[in-house]
Amino acid sequence: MPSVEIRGNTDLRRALRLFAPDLEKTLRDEMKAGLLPVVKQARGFVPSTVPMSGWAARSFSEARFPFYNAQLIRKNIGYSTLVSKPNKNGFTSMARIFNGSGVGAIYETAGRKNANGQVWVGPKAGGSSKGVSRSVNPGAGKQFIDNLEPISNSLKGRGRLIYRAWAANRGIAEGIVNKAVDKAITQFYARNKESKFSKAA
Amino acid sequence: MDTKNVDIRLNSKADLKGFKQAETALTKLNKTTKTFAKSFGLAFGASALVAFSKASVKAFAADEAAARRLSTAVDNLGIGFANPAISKYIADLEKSASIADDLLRPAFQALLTTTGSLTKSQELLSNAIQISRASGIDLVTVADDLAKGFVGTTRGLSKYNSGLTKAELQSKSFNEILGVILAKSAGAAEDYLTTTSYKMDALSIATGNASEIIGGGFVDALARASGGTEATDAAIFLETMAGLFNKVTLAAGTSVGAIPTLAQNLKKLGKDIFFGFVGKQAGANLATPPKTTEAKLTLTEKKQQELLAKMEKEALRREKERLALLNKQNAAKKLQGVIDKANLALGKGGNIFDIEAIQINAALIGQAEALGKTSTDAQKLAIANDVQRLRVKQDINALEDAIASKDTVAIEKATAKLNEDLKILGVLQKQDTKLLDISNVLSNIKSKDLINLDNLNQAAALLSAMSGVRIGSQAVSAAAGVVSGAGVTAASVAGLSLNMPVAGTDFNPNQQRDRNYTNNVINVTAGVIGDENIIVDAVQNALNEIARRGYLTTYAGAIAV
Repeated sequence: MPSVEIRGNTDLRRALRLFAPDLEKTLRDEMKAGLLPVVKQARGFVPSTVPMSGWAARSFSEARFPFYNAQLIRKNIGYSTLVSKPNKNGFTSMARIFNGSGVGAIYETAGRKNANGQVWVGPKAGGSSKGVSRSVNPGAGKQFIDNLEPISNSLKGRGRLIYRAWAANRGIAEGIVNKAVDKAITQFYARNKESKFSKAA
Repeated sequence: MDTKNVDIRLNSKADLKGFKQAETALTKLNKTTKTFAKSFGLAFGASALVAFSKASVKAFAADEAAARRLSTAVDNLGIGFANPAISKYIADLEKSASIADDLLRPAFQALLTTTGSLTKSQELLSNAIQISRASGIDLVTVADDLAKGFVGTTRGLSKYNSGLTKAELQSKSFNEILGVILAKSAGAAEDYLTTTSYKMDALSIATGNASEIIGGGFVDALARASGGTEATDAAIFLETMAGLFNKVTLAAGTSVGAIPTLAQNLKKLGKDIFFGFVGKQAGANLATPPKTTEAKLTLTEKKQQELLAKMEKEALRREKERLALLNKQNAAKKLQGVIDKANLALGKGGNIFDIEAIQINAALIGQAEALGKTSTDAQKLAIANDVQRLRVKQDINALEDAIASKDTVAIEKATAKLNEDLKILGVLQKQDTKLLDISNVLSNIKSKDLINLDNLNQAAALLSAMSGVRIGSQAVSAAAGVVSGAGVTAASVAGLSLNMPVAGTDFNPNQQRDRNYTNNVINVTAGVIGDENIIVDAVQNALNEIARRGYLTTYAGAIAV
């Protein structure tokens, strides 16, 4: 019988699911207890009114830039206690908080890279490169950013919603999650010592 | 907008594929235990069959290669005739211990090639299984470590938590270390037989063997179908025939229920398939080639026994040689240690041994004897010292002779004697030192006799004769202290007054003043000495003025550096 070696998050969660489902459930519950307050707070940072009139929803759209929709942003801020897919470097996360909507991402990160907006080239500039402002208004980017809340810094990154909430949480959620994972691992191995695991029928 | 990065990830770790492989194996095992035959029968379409047959062929090939390696190793040892017996031993062990032959073969091969003995290899393999069960380390690694340990490299045995230190591992023999490890892992192999893991292992081995057998059948059948005899021919044919299997429906597949039956049936499957159907489809000549019986030279039983005995004897001889070499090395190390120790003692002896001292002391002894042995204790001690030195010298000579003869016992004995005599000499020298100290004290006391009353009187008389010399009060008082017991003072003896001024040295207030001395006033002009702050202010003002107006060498506005 091949020996089972548990490496990484995916293995751990699978092993928990297969051999100790109750531990897996407890782990999820504990992680939820840590993450939910952050999510709730992040949702609270979403302005109910549109930050600028030009971003408000209207009956027709000239472009694909999404309208501001506080409800949509709030709805798509959430958490996940499932193991993520590996990123390009092969890393997975045990839990995460996300700001999933496009408009939410814009509100979250606008000005993070260019505090005064992207470099203006105007509508008549050639090429199709992204990352430049092609607005008729050279100060459009700056105006947009100035109308939003200032960006907050956190240890996980910079932003206005989830990162701000994360910074406000001051590592409590991370501590809860890490502790829950450690606890699950310890209990899992302890149980394995008591009696060898076999797959549930 | 890329929203992928707008999230906070927690407890990120690099994920590897270990569990996935294990789970695949587990899933496979589950399937084999429950639905192996069924699924094989039902999914007898092209993809399932081709995939299975590929895996089976691969398993068979790996198994065959491992067997071939062991067989070659056995051949190289000159006991090729023992191959069937070894195969049987491996097969039996596989069943009884539930360890796959894929593991047993390389483990046994490592032990056999190292020890050169069948019996020793079997014994060590049995030990390796026990240790492997107890430690959880795979059998091949354990066997490899034991093989290395057998030839003296015991470093690898440290991982089995024997509790032996590194030094112990190096100094103890392999058998001693093995004994410790086996004692700590006793019963592990038997305990394992009661676990579920063991049962799963047994099942896994059964399915693995089935797969290998099936693979073997496939290889034979497919190779024949392709007109060749090798596995490569079978692989080519397997690919080309994959499409044809779509049309194949075999009722036999669904009737297969149990693994052994399945294995047997599938072993025949190749022939049946290709004779009955595929052959026709492919238009290939699939008639079974007549078996060619190869003329083999077989050894008689007696000859085999002789060869085995010879091999065991050879292994024993090698082991003896190895042990003899080891003993020789140890003896050499021991001798070197003794010599080092002796050299150390010689060094100590050399340090205290001084031929000149001996000669001088011998002369002293001679003198003492000449004086009719009327010597003091100190002289007696000196004589004893010299005698002891001579003994040390004798010991040194004896030790040098012993070292030259390389006789360990003699060296140790001579070293011990030298050390003993050195100790005695040390004790004597300490006594000598004490006596020397006492005599020094006495001689100091005697020297004080030089300062007596007569001498002092003489000195005082001399001093009184010298009119221009003044005796300091301290010196006089000291002298007075020394001779106070006599009841006289040095001053009285010398007739000197302690308060008498010395011309040109002491100030005499009664001395008549010089004529110019009384009204002569000397004025020293020191200028005005002001307050420190005033001086600082003055300097600052001066600097400011210089900065404003400049001076001879600079201009106005310049900053003084």
